[in-house]
Amino acid sequence: MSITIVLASAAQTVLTVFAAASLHAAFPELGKQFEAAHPGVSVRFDFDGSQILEAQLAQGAQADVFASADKRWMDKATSDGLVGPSTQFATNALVIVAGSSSGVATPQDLTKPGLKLVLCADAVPCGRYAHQTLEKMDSEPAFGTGYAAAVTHNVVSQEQNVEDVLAKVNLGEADAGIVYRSDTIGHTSVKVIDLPSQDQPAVVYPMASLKKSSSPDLATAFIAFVRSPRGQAILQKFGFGPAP
Amino acid sequence: MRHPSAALRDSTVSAVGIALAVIFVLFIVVALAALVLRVSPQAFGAALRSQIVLQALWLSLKTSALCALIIAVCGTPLAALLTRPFRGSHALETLVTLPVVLPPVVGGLALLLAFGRMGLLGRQLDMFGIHLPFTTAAVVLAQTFVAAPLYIAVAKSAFARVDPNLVDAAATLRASRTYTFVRVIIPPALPALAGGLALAWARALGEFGATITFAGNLPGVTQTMPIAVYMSAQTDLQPAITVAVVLMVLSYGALLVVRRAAGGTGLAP
Repeated sequence: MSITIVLASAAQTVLTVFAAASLHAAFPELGKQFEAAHPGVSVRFDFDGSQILEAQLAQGAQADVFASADKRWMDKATSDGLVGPSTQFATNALVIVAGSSSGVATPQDLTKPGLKLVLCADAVPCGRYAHQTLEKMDSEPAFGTGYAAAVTHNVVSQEQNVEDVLAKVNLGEADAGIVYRSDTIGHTSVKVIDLPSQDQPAVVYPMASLKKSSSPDLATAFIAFVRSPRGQAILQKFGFGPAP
Repeated sequence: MRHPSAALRDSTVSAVGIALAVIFVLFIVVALAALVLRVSPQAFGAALRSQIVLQALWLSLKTSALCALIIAVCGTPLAALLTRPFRGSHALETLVTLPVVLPPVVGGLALLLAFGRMGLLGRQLDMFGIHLPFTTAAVVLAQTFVAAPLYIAVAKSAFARVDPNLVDAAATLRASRTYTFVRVIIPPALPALAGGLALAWARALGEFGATITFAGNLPGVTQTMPIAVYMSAQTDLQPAITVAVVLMVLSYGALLVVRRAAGGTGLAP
C-alpha cells in the first residue's frame, strides 16, 4: 500500500489520481506534462492494485480520477456509485519473462517438467488474464489440449502483484513468469517472450473521474490529456498499446 | 497519618490509570468487534467447511506448531546462555532480536537471498538436494525467523529471575549442569516459558510478509491462513473478513488454553 503525503499551498490545486500499480512508471511522466500545461496544478498519484484502490474509494477515500488495470474494478466502482462514465485509455499485452539460464525460449517451454513458474494470483487482473490466455492456447493446434494443465502444474507461487513475479524471476528463484509487456521495459536481464495475441483477452485500461471529485473539470482535462496523441505517445514509450 | 490531599491525589492517579487502561482495551475490543459483527454464524460455519479455508487452516496449524517446537528446542539453550553476560553477549542478544525490527517482507527477502536457489548458500544446499523456496519447509523457516526473538527475550528474563540461591545450592550438592538446568532452573521458569512460546506461536500463526516473499503462495503448500485472508480480500472483502474471524477465534481459544496451562503466576507476559 502506498502512502503519499501532500503539502498543497493555497495557490496550488491538487489533482489526486488513484492508478493501478502497472501504471507507476508511465503516469508520473503524464503528470509532469499535465502540470507543465496547467500551471498551479499539482498531480498526486496513489499506485496500488486496482482492487485495493476500488475498496479504498468505496470506503470513502478522496480522489479525482480512478485509472484501473481492468474493466472488472471499474465496473465495481460504477455499481458502487463512485464514478461517472469511463473511457478506455490504453491496452496491454501479456508476455513471458524468463531468466537467461532458465531454458525457456518459447511458450511451449513452459510445460517443461520441473520448471518453476510464478504467476499473479487469480484475484489480481494479471493472474486472471494469464489463466484465460493459457485456456485459449489449449485449443490451439500449435499447443494442444493439456497445455494449460501442464503449465499450471509448474506454478510454484501465486504472487500478489506483478512486481513480485518479476522480482522472483530477476532474482533467479523462479525460472519464468507471466507479466504485462509494460512491466518489462527497462529490465534487460530477463528474456521477454511473446504470447500469441489472438489468445489473449483484451487487456484494456479504463479511466473515470470520481463523482466526489473536488475538481471535476480538471479531472476531465487529465483524462482527455491521457487520451490525446501526446499522452498516448508517452504511454507507448512505457510499453502500453494504444487506446482501443 | 496521611494528609487528606495526598489520599485524594492517590485516588485521582489510580482513576486516571484505570481510565487509560479502559480506553486502550476499548481500542482493541472495538476494532475486533467491528470484524466479528460482520460475520453471521452461518457464514462462519460455511467458511469452516470450505476447502480453501480448511487447507489454509491445516497448513497454518502444522507449520506454526513445528515452528514453536524448533523455537523451544533451539531458543531455550540460547536464552539460558544469554542469562549470564559474557564478552559479546549483548551484541549476540541484539543480533538475534534483529528480525523483530525488520519489516517482515525484508526478513523474507533476506531468507530468499540467503537460502534461495541463487542465494548465498544456494549452491551448498543444492548439493544436498535441499531446495527451500516455494516449499512448506520455507514457511516454517520464515515463521521461525520472525517469531523466535519473542520467545528468546521472554525466556532469558524468566531464567534471570530464577533465585540464584537455588542454583548455588544445587552446585554445592554437586548436581551436574544439565541436572541443574532441567530440574532447578526450568521448573520455576516454566509458566513464563509457556507464555513466551504462546506469544511466539501467535506471531508465527499471523506471519504473512516473510512467508509470501520466501515461501510464496500456493494453496495446500504455502498458503497459510493470513495469506488466504489477504488473497481473499483482493476479490471480495466479505469472505476475507469471515476467514479472518475464523483465524481470530482459533488463536484466541488456543492462547487462552495455553495461558491457563501456564498458570497465573504473573510471570507469563
